[in-house]
Amino acid sequence: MSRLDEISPQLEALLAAACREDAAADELRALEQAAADPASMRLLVDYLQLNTDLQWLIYRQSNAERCLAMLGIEPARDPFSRREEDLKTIDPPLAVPSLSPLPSPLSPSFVGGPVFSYIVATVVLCLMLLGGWAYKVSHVSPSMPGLAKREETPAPIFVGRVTGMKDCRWADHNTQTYVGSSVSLDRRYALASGLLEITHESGAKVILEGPCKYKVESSAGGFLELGKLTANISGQRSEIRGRRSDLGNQKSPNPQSLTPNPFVIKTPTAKITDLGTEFGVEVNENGDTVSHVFQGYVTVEAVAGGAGSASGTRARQNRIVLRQNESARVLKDAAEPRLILADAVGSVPVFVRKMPGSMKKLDPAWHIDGDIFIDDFDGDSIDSNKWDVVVEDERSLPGGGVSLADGCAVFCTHDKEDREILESNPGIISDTPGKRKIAYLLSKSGQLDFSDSPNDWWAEIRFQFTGNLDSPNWSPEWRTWAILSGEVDGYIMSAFDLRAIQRGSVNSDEFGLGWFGCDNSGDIGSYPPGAGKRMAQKLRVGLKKGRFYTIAIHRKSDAKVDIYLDGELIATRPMIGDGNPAYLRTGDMMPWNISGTCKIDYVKVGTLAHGAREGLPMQQ
Amino acid sequence: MRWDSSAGYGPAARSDMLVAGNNRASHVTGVSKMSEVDRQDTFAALFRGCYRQVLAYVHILVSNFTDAEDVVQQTSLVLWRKFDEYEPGTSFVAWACGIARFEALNFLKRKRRYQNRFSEAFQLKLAEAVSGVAAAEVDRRMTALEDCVEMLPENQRDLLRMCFGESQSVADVARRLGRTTHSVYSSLRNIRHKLFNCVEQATSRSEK
Repeated sequence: MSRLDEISPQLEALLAAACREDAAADELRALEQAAADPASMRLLVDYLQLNTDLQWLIYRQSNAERCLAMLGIEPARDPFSRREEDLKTIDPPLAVPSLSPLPSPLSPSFVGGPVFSYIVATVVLCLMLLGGWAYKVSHVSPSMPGLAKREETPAPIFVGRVTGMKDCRWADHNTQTYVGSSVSLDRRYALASGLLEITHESGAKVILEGPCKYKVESSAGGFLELGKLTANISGQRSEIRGRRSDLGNQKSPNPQSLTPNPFVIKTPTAKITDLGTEFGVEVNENGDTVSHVFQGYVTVEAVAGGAGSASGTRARQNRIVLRQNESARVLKDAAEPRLILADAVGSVPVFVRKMPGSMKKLDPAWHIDGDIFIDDFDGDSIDSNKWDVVVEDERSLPGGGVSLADGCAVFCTHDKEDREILESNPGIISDTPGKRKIAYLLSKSGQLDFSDSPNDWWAEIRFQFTGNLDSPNWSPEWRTWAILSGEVDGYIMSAFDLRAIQRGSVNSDEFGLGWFGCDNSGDIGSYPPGAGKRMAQKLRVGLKKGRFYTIAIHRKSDAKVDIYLDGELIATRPMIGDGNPAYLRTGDMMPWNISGTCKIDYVKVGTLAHGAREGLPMQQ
Repeated sequence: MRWDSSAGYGPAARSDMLVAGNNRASHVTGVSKMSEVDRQDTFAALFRGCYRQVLAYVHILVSNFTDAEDVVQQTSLVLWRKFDEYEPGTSFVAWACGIARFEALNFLKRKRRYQNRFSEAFQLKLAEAVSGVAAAEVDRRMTALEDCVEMLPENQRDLLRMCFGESQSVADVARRLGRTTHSVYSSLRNIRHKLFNCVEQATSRSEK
């Protein structure tokens, strides 16, 4: 029971009134009286602080850094790394030898005693040391010794700027920042979630993906303690390489750290060195490091004792050069890190390679001018005029299927490998075939008629995965869920086919987005005939379990589709052939042993027009 | 590299240290004797450390969050201008709240919305109570609050976003939702209650 549960409803009503702009004067007077004792006042303060923090959290506009920037105080200066030293620096060094605690007046016994002799010796020694120190300082600077010491304190060196932030939540509020702030050496960032992009003066970009702990160690790299980052050095401006920051205009405490070529990411177990490239690095909670190259080359070194130590270690290292699409994992074993290559690496994490904010958004002049198919699933049952509900292989398994709840279509499917189902139904033998239930929605024939507008049209779906795509027996390529597919009548291929592909382990919380297109191999059964073999293309967009996403496609006149995630363009892919889909399909329709749970909030398909807006605005 | 945020390497911890007992304060010279770099660093650490407390204090005085932000921004100017008058070793947040109170009253006058929401005596008591809460505790509660908001049902989070994130008044939100203003206020109160309990539980757990 909290303090709020212990007060009367009337008092809580007064607390709530204090948060309202239109609070009545008598309510506020009553609150003043009610908060007379310290405990009530403290409750009021905590309640009001929560109300403000809540708005701060949601609004995310206000922060101290903006105020400091307005004052001309460099907000990115790391204020906490030097504070202990500051306090010592501010102490006047000459104040120490004043030795004021001597007894006074001096008694004869004290003057002649051993304590007196000891103190005199100490004073003489101190004065000698002080004299030596003053002599040394005077050769450094003719000014006051204290001032000379302050001048030795290095001003911050700025090596880049924060150029993008998306949905940032901070694991350590003291490391929070804002877009446009300078990045100083030794600056730390501790993200709980979200994305943060740092652009170095050299042009190199680093995208941190929360949860993540990162420290900027030089103008060309940093220390990744935990989490994921993507480094893109392809845009690095060579003419700036080697130049010291002119923002800080101060000498570096470590000149070596200002040598920006090459770009280096250190982790607790590895050192990844750029050879002109784009690469991703992940450090998990065990301290293991996975490196993956998107373009170019990197070297990966397994470093015993941690690559982050400034002095480095002479411990055994092993090193490899990775090329495009190659990965390496460095395991933090007890004895020394081990480097694992190629296939043994296991699943490669999904890295964010572009900041969502920098992605192209849908041109707002586009609008739906004709609804083709809409369902918001707000009724009591699946609308049989719109959908055929397909549930297959439900012979032996209870539950599951498609139902409506909370304004969503709720999919629940499972298979014989679903342990929970098996344990609650002991009659089911796990190796009996046919213990599988799949469920999907297929729009009624003729519902998706694009014949009036063969060029530009729009299909959109809002959905959420609530469970895993469980299948220990199938590779991730086949652990998929059809999010939005346009099925072409009479062919096994779809005109468009967006799927979720589960990454990593069976219980992974992360899905990738996949586009199931064709290659040009002329495989039988494809659409149009001879177009090619089915293949899954990862779109390298991570989808988290438990969060709603809106995915939409814009079918354009050039027979390509733009794919949008939450209103931002993430990819452009060719349509499969030039045919228009006849059915819309969503749900679990894979014939393999996969199960999952998913909610769909709405589906919307329409023809598009560009220009003056007459129809409803597009819902994104 | 040792990196433990709980170890107190943040500005809040620094500001606590600066205002800690007089024994430490006696070793710190006045702000005016600091170099410009030290002065800026010290101000930045102190201001960051108490920012949200001052914001909360001003928020209750002016009642509107965005107005409160403006007032705190204005307050920061005054604090910086008068920083030489700040006495290291004393409570910075109390000093800041004192200045913020005047700025809030000036703001309300300028906006012709001058009205004493609270008596002057209560405003001062409130400032004292706000500055009596340790910055580290405010940070702890904030961290817990972030997690607690995540645990809210989607419809409650949507309501918070509408009321706090889209510059709409509660009356506007109520109209948009086809509800009465009273019912939206009531929902907000319930959400705050739930969050307050959640924060209390989370922080008491972390203290054990």
